[in-house]
Amino acid sequence: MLGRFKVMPAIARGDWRTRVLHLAQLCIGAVALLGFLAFTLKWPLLLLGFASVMGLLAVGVALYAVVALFAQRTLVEEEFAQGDTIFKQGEPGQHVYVVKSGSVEVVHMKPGGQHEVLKVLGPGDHFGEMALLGKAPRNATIRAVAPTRVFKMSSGNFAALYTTLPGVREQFTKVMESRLEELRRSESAS
Amino acid sequence: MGFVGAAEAASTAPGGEVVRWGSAVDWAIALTAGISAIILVLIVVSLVMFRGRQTEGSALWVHLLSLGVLPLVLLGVGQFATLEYATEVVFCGSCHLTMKAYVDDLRNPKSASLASLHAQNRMGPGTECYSCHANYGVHGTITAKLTGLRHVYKYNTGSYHLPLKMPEPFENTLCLKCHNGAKRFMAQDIHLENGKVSDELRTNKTECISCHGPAHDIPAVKKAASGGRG
Repeated sequence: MLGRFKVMPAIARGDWRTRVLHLAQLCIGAVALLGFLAFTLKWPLLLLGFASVMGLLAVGVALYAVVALFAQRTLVEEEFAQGDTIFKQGEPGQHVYVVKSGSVEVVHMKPGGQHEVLKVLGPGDHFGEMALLGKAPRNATIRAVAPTRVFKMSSGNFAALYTTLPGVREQFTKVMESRLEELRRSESAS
Repeated sequence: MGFVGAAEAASTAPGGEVVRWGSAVDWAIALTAGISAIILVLIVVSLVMFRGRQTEGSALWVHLLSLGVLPLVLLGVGQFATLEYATEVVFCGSCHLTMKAYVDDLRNPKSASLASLHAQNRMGPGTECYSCHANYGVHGTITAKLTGLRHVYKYNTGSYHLPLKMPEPFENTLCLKCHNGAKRFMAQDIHLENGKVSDELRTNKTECISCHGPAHDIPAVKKAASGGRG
């Protein structure tokens, strides 16, 4: 498999952001449910309940802000169902991904409209770095071929890793050269 | 049931009828229910379609709306709707066991009570209870809301006593906030002292209600069957 990325498990400390997101949903959902019932049924007790817990809206928004902030600044775990497209060829690249579980296929769309599956990536494999390193649009589409969980890292964090850890830089450079070669072969074959 | 507010209250007062939906409180109530429903739908969509995702593609917008923008709007609109709806007679009247007799009197076109006369003359349509029982400005509003909270608690725990009694004498200033300066009021010398409202009235030495009562004309209150203590 291409480029096993050994650093990631050390940084990934579980998916706490999803739990925080669910907590925000619980806070805001409970208030919204009370609000809906209070103003459709017009029961004083429901109105009182709604007024009493309205502060949870602010708590929920604050929790979501934490999730959104850390999603931009750190490693985020995301989940895709079979068949989901993680990103499309031609889109601008903003993140690097590492497969935690499941598998994804790398699909290259050729100029004639045909598409070719270049590779299937599994746990430990990474993708998405070429657009960041080459400052170019995505050169392939990535699609989940099974229920898949990935770690997503922002371009800023990737740049920090890439520039400060020579081993990581060497690894990514090798993989990028190898993948560029595959792309060239795919395009010349068509 | 439904999204009705001030217009509904006006419709049930004697001679009142729904002229037009669209007051600020009508909108606030409709928006609160609507935004709450949208938030709930978006949260369900997120749990079903974007489970485990936080900022990827459409999940970003669904979460930004349902957990960021709409809750902040709901916070403002919901507060306004709750505070404004709580000033309406329909809200006071929703505590049927204790308030029904008062609201019935208010809406009785044959009653000669002060409350009913005010309602018949469309003074504070839809918010007659609040208009007379809340004092001036922010301080009066806050006191009225806190008292209202206590009433809801007592009603729902059955810890009230019948017949209801005013915790303290009704202050003339509550009448004077509207009547002071009114042509008919100022035309009565008995109200005045040196061309201004007399000290007797200002200081509650003479209560307005002593000449202009009764405030409410209600039948003898029977002991409520559901826990209210008489």
